[in-house]
Amino acid sequence: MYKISNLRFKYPKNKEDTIKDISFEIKDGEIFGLLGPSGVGKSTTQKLLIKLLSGYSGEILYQGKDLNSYGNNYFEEVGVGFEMPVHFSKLTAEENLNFFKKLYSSTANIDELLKRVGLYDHRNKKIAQYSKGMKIRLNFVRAMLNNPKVLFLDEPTNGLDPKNARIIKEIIKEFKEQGGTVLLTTHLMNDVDELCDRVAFMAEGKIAEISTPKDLKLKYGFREVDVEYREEDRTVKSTFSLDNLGDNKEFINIIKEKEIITIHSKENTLDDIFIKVTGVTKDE
Amino acid sequence: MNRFITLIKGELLRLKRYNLFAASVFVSIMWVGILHFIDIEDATKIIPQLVFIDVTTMAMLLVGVTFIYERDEATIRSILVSPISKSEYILAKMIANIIPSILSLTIMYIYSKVFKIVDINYLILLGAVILVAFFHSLVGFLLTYYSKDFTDLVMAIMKIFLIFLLPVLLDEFNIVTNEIFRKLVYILPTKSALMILMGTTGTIQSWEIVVSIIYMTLGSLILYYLVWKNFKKYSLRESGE
Repeated sequence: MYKISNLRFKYPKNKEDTIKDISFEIKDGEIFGLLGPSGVGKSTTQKLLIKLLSGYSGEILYQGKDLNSYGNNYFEEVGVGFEMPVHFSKLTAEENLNFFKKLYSSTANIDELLKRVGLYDHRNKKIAQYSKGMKIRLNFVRAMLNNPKVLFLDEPTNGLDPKNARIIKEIIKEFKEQGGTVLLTTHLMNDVDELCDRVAFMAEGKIAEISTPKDLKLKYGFREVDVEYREEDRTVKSTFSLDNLGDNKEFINIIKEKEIITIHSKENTLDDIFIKVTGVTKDE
Repeated sequence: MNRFITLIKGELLRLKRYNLFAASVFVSIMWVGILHFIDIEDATKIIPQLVFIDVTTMAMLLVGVTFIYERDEATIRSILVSPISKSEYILAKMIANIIPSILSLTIMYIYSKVFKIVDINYLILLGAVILVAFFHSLVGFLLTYYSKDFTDLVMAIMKIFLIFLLPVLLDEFNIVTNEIFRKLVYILPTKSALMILMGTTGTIQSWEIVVSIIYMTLGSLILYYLVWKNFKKYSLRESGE
């Protein structure tokens, strides 16, 4: 769907490039996660792909053609879900959506989308009366408004309660099942784990790592298992290698003889990988 | 074309909802109040003068305020990822924001027709208002590019008023009669704007009106190019880019 080669970009007022020679592909029908701490160039990359920024060097191909060769009709195929609210606060949700809907030649069933995200009964309220979570859900509806082929989502579930986050994630999965492609930017590694087919970690304007979540966990994880068990009224913790675990007599003995409290394989979580690969904590 | 009409309708709805239409009508009523209380029967000359103050300031202010609202609420981002062109967006905003000026003119004209004497061709004055409002809407657009917020915009409009409008008014109402000053005032585009509007009263020579129209038209084209060229750069500036 997208092929990005040797992409570089510098903001006019900056001395250094914000994007430093990155190359990656987003395949047709996949959910691709673009991850990394704030300020590493994720949003800039996304803005270049949605043509909010121009003046880059390198190449961005969309469906095999230079992105610059596409006119405004590019946006007929693209849906963008911003992290911040992007609606007219003194208009109702319905008025907002009706305005944007009429700018497209093809549109989704808005009422159905509003019902699914739980905003249908609030469609006649002004956005100023909406809570943060409601605005985020409305942003998502706005992104889906034009039946896009590609969705760009920036923190689509950040600030949502678990129930509504689940609904949004279900819709994203359905979108993918119907052939849609998604570029997801988020700090929430649970979402990444659940949704993304492949992820790229960005650090200092470069792609530090790119792979599937599973492969990354294997690459950065330890092939070990932790066992906590009770022994003479105290808790003991032992670590064993996963290699030839079935032949490990001490491990077998503990499993057979002791009261096991917990047992965990030590594969890394995406949170751990995030910190390792980008070299910073997530909140930075 | 449908998208363009949608954009214009959207602008008009927002002018209403953000109470900018109401503010504009209030200003029009204030002009009618002035017309009512000043002791003249024939309003032919004063209508273009009041329209001049209204159109120049309100055109700058309305375009500026609506654009700053869109920047602050980040709705401009949502618009920029829609299949519309920069020109459609800019022209739709300008057309919608000229409508309050037309409304203001119409209110003043109807009042004067009913209660005073007025000898102006409404349609010619309407054309003049559109040209002058078009020019000043573009000035309003450019001012927002360099204004961080609403306060900044108001300050910028105040500066424009002092530099470009006040000298023209001092000349027009014979408050300053110095010959050099009167000649220098002709450099200002606002003087051309006033001459185009006053041209509808028959008190301005034809060649002066023609030169003023050329000045306003060329000025509008240059301003439009500047607004168009820098649109994306400044419409995203709330994110510090």
